[in-house]
Amino acid sequence: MLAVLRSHPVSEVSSPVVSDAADERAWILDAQKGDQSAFGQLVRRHQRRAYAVARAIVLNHEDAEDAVQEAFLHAYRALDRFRPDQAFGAWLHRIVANAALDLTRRRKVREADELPETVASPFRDPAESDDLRKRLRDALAELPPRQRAVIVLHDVEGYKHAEIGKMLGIPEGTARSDLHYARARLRDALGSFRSE
Amino acid sequence: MGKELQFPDVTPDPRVVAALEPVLAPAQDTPAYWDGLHRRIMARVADAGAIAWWSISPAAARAGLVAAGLAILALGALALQTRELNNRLAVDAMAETELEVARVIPGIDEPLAVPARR
Repeated sequence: MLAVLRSHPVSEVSSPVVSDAADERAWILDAQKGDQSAFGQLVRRHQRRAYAVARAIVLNHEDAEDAVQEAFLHAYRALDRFRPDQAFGAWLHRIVANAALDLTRRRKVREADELPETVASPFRDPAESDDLRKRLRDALAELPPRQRAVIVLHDVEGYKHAEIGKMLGIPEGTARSDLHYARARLRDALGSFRSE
Repeated sequence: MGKELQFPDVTPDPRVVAALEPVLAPAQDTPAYWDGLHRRIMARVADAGAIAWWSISPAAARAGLVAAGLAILALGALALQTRELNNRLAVDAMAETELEVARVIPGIDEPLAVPARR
């Protein structure tokens, strides 16, 4: 999936080719007038990246899908407040990140109320086999959700610290330090795997 | 020391990014999967759109609240004005009645003579 994302790096998405930008702007204006098929085009263009952002925060597939659906629904309802001069992707990713963080918080509260033996493992991917992948998942799971969001938004999605700060509602400096610590933890996980 | 210096904006570690890829990918990264997700999202959007015909936008709600507030103020002012007018009419009517009674029954408005004590 991310190979596909990398074929549209953020530098392109921030200033996409003219026709892409014009298309997107037209879709947004039509969607703001209530055209659901235009909103459908926006969904099609952004759902992959939205999924990656959500997945990084909630870690499991089901919750990532829930967060993405919630986020697009929220975006549709809030579309009249979106100014077309903004970057739609950044605006949407802020909604996705908040939906995913909210889901994580609700899950934490729910799990705290449940008995330990009924707590579901967040890792239910049946394709789990690769030891490195598992180790990285474990390292990611140990990171606070916000740090996970920051490292994915920065290193995978290519956003700048200031943009991430705005998306997550944190100071730019906090985004910097979150990224620093998240990277260190992941490098540790990878490093220990390589040294074994 | 500023955070820029403390945590310089170094380029992403390609090892970390490469390792993150499979972790962030859905179990089935196929066109069918994305079509399915798109359909589910749009079904929820359609549901939201279906109830939107009777719901009102925040802008319309704000305008409605302002209009309602102005209407309440206008009604209040009108009610005050009406009450004042009614009071004035009542006082005028009472005064006119007293004058009429005094005309018809002379001496009615004079104080009653107190009977002398024995």
